[in-house]
Amino acid sequence: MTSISAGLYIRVGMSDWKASTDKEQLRTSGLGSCIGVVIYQRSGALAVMAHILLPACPENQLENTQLRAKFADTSIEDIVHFFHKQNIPSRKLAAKMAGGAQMFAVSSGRENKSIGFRNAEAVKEALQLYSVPLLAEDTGGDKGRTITFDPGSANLYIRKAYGEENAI
Amino acid sequence: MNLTIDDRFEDMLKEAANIGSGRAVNSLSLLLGEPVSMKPVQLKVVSFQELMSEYGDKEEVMAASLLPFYGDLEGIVYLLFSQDDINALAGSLIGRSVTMKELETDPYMHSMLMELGNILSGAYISALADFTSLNMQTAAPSAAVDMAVSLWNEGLTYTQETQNEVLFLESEWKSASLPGGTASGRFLFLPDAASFQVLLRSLEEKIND
Repeated sequence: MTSISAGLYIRVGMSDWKASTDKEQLRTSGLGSCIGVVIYQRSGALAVMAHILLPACPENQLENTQLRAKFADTSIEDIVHFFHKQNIPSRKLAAKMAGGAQMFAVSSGRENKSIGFRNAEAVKEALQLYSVPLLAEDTGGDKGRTITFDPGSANLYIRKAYGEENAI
Repeated sequence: MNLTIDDRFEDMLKEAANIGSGRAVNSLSLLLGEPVSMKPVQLKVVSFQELMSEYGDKEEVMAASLLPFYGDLEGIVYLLFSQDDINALAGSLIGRSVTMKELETDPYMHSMLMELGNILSGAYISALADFTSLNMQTAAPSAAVDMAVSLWNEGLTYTQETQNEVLFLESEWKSASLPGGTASGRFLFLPDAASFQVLLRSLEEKIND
């Protein structure tokens, strides 16, 4: 289980996505209601991890390139285009995701569903829209997650408080 | 939206936050029966990138209490405690130390954490409402025990949808003479982006008066 390498990995910040081209591991920390999603080449080295905060980009922000990685719809769109531009079609891709927890039992007033739940749904919808199969997910609950993707094995390692760990 | 704030507003914002955290610290002192000191309030603008590089590897388990407020201003007051802080606070409140696991799983301990948040953040918000003459009410408090990085991320991303940075007012407090040691902690006051404008306008009216 502990094939998470100690030192070398690419760190993905909040509201950002990054590509690993040479099987370097990708990591993002402290996902609460946020979603960490990996889209990767099923037989190949290229993998992308995104740290998404919210379901949908407001219409007046669609052109704001600084902000597109923050939202499920625009982030997934950009990542899929990134693969397509390198002649890797959707049918050669797969995805895994984790996060979408509800750490605080706060109702936002406007919505019945938690933001974490809506984030997970929005990622699924966007993946479906671009025909990228979601092979595994570990979403929901009330705990934060730090995730590491190993492109070599296509395993997504999930770490929670007190060092609790699993892989999908 | 632009998050830059000119100097005179910065001073007014800090003053408003000082009044809020002053009253919160006062309630804490009454609760503990010991003096509690406070550092001057800081106005912080933190980008998500900085947040991740500062807390990204912090797997230390911490406790947080979150109190949403609504009305003319909407946002949250967020409190963060380390294990040492909790031990010192619990030492005064219930006469023994408490582990993070207990805080998380024992309903009584969990509600102690929420109540602590409710009293302190409630005092903060009511002082701020008095000072600004704005209508502010608090909703039910909520608490979580988790990795520091998750708590920071989750607290700071609660508001301000269309930025990749977050603006908040931070107050640090400390009580050194508790039977269980020194407790300290942070209050973060996080209005949403629209509320910052409302708060600034109300402060501007105060300046012009």
